[in-house]
Amino acid sequence: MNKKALLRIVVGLVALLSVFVLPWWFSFILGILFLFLFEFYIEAVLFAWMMDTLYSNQSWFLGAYLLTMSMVAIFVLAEFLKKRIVYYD
Amino acid sequence: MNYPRPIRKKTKKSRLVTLILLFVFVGLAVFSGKVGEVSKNILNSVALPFWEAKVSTADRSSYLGALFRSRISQADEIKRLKEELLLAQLNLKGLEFIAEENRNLKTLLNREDLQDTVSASVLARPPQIPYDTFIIDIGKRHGLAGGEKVFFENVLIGVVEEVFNKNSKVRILSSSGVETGAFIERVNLPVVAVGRGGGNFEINLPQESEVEIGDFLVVPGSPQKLLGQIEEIEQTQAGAFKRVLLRFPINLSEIRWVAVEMLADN
Repeated sequence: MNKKALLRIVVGLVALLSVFVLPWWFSFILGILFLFLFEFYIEAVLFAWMMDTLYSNQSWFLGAYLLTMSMVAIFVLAEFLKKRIVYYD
Repeated sequence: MNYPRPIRKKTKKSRLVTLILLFVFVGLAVFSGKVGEVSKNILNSVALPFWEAKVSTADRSSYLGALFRSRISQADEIKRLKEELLLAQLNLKGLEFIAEENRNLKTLLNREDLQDTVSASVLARPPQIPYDTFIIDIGKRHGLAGGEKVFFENVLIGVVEEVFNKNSKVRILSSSGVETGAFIERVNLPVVAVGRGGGNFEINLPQESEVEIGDFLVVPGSPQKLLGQIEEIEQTQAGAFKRVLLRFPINLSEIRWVAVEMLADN
């Protein structure tokens, strides 16, 4: 297992822990940060879905999965931007 | 000129497969009741030890501050707290007398309190979580079934919405759009309080309604429970209605434990 993969696993565990014990906005910002630090960081969408599943109390779909929808949009935007920023070449 | 590096076909294929698998899983969890329920149960089982550890650590770390304060400031605080305690004990004696009188009167009128409540510790609360929800540490094992009312002292906070094995999710009544029937105690006026989030409610009343800032809202029942206190009244000259804003009389982020009223069948 190479260093990058190991780092990604460790970072994933930290993000998972933050979903349970840290404020939601901290986990959300961490997810956005990791989206730009790692390639194709789809785990951010999974963590947002976990927060919505654990904590949401809304009955209508968009209200119940607000964080997930937001993270999907940010993920798509991040992938779009990374293809056009020289830093990621 | 720089060109974006082409992604290898194999990487593209694996990413596509990952995306499809993830969206199928999330889609099933969202739209399929069974998969959704199983995923919620698993997530709550995984999260529960972390929540309990966090609550336990927060309780213990509150003592750390004492290490860095001077003895004089600690002695001053002890003195102040002793005086407050004495006053509180005196007030309590008076309240106990009134409560006893209340119980006797209700017995005379055949209206004894039939509440059966269980205490629960709050594992997660706003603003740590993004929704108006509490996670409490009692669940199916403790006899909960869903729909139980949740109180803090004499304030009605919410209703148990989802029950898992060892914990439950409580929807706070001030959640956006949630309607709660109550009445303004001073003028005995029935109203519907609509949640605005963050412990806040709003009520729309006719202009001629006699309400004042500071009026309490109570929820009908035996005994009556407090819902909130009016903080602001917005009215316009031309409008037929006035907007009354109120909030819980307590800070939701400071609540550490609640009482859950068990349903009669449980």
